[in-house]
Amino acid sequence: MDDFDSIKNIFFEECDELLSELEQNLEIIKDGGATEEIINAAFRSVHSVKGGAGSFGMPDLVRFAHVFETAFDLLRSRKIDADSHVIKIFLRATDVLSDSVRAEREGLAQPLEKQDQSIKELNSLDCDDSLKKNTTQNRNDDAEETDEERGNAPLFSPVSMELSEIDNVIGDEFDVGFEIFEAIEDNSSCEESEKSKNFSEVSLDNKIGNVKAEGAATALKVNSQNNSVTIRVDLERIDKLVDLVGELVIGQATLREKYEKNHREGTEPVSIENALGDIDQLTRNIQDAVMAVRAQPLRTVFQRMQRVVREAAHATGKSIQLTMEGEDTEIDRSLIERLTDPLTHMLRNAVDHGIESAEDRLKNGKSAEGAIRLSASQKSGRIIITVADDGGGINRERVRSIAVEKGIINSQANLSENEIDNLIFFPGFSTSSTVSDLSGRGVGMDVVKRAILDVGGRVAIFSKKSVGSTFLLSLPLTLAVIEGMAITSCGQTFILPVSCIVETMLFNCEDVFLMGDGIPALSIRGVFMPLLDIGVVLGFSVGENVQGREVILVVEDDDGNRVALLADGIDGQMQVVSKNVEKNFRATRGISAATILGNGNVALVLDTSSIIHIGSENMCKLPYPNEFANVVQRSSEWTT
Amino acid sequence: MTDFLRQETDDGSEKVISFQVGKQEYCVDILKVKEIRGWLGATPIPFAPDFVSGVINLRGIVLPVINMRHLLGNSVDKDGGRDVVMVVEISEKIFGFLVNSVSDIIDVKKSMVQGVPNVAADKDKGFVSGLIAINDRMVGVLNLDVVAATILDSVT
Repeated sequence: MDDFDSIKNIFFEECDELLSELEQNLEIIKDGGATEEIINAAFRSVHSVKGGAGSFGMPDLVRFAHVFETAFDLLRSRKIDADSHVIKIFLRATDVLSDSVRAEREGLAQPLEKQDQSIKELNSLDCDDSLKKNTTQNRNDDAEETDEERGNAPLFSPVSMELSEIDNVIGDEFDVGFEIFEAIEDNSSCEESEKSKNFSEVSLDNKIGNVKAEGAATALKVNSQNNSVTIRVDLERIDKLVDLVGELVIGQATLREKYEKNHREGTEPVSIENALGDIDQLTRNIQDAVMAVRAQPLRTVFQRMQRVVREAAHATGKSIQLTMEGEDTEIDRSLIERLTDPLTHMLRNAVDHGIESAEDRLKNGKSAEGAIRLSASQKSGRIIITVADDGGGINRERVRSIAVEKGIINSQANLSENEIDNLIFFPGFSTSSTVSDLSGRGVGMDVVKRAILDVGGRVAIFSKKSVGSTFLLSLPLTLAVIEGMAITSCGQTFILPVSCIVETMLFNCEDVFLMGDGIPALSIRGVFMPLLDIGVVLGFSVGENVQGREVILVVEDDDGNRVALLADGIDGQMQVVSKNVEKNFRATRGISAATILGNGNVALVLDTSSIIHIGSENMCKLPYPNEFANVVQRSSEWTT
Repeated sequence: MTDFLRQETDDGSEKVISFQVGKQEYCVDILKVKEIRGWLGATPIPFAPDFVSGVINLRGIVLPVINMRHLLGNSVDKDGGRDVVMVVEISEKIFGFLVNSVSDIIDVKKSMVQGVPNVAADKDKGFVSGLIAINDRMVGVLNLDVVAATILDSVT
């Protein structure tokens, strides 16, 4: 990749950001938050795309962005109001703009038809005829001509205006990267003082370039066919890391000095306790800072979903409101990329199959507008993403009959509601009798499931007739730091994510009762829950006695199931970096990852859900310790 | 045929590392071996087949260690030599092979590799793709692809 291509790539990456920012701002405006600042920010996004496109010689993109910008100017100067009609046109124009950018990026033909249509819409907003001549329907006009019509500025950016704008955006790193393209173009015609201003920005741009280079160095290869993957990192985060490393160097020097002093003869030994404490603290901070570099908010994926829903709603003629929560939840960069496709499928499905038609909704006493909620949160050391619609829920009879028809299940099969719901994840299953553009090709949900399983996630459905369906994705935090509780069992140290621990207590054999076939249950303040010996569940011990078992950890999985885990002891709480076990081995039941302990040994990170699952599968088969036999007598007395 | 036999050098010979597993000697292409470490014990993995000793920490990488004595079905008891872990890379995955000792680096010519007698093939599940006779020793050529497939496919 030569220099020009790499600069061009940076431009496209920035375009992605600008466009998602633009979309976000338009959504805010749509919701009535049309402050001058927001409108200006949105305007700047379009403008920056145009500027960059101009410097890279993309006349069609410039032509469209220019019309868009002109229309935006009307909004900015309050000649038109930000009503829903206007915003709709703007959102559509944003979609077209992002299509155009993508076409440039992939070297495809520009979507001229869409552009022309959108240009028509944008022009219709303009009541002032004098502005109309700015726009051109003639795509043979090359870029310069377009601009000459408008004024005398070279390459679309009147210097006088740009520089004042640049002033406004100094420090706003998103814009600087872009405005610089224009600034460079304009340098020749600038006055000296302005020139120097430009140069200061060039250096700032260089800085950003460096940040990118560092980002590139830390970026993981997500796909071996891809070129190296780069991430854009907030300069602040890098600066923080640099500062911390600086402090670490000082801390290390202090420690060494004290150590040497202690080894010099004839001097009073000094304590190195404080210096060590400082380094502990710093190490932890550096760890956080490094993780923060890789972590990115889910916002980038979520923002894209607005468009998915908008287009799907348009195609199906439904009116749908997408609300989002927890976009700031940060997740490892490598996962972000792999989430886009499954989420797109899920949202299209929710629009196409989930939400009923407006008439049906009104008939059922719902508002005509469907609602889809996309939310993200961190729970039990995993990222939980839910897609919830308020549609009709899964039509289980239909799902069942289709599954029978397609030979997925036997017509005699006796399935629970949940099992029926899960049939939609089978390959080749599609409930839609007509094949629509959106979903209904029957590839949707099984692809979703595969994609989520591939990244070590899980998918669950909750559906209630005429209330709606909720899809729940539970994703691991690869590379993330887990706040873990170190526990011991069978002479091994395990890490249990603190987030899934409800409480811990000392084990008392008298609290154990035997249910049915001798399944041990623990009574905690009168509440019974299954008792699982970690060593036995994982197959490290046959569990004929409970000798050495001293602590109980009550844990909860994603679904709220609670069990009591029996362990030998608790070593304390610590932050651990989770390491992938699958990478060189394979997924293993009961554990979600591994980590390296302070002594260099590997400790396994327990997966609560999986442990509960293994436990409930094998509960009857597990031998129970002799000690529990004593309580059988007592428990029968207790029940009578 | 194993990889190393395909990537012959000009004089038609390849370097292999030979190692002792139980009483048997085996060899692998030297280019596949990343490093050799002392054995300090591993963290056992639940539900793993018995030839998986566990995982160890290789500079931050979680490395599964395969006990070659169990995998190759040789005498399970230790037979002289201290245990060492050979870090081997097979198609972008890294494994540790727990062996009794690493014995030699040998130049092997293709013509030196003999076929495996049918009697032994069944027991070894195709782990050994050829035999080399050197100075009255018999060295088995490990088929790393089969080994890797066995490690990754073995059902828990």
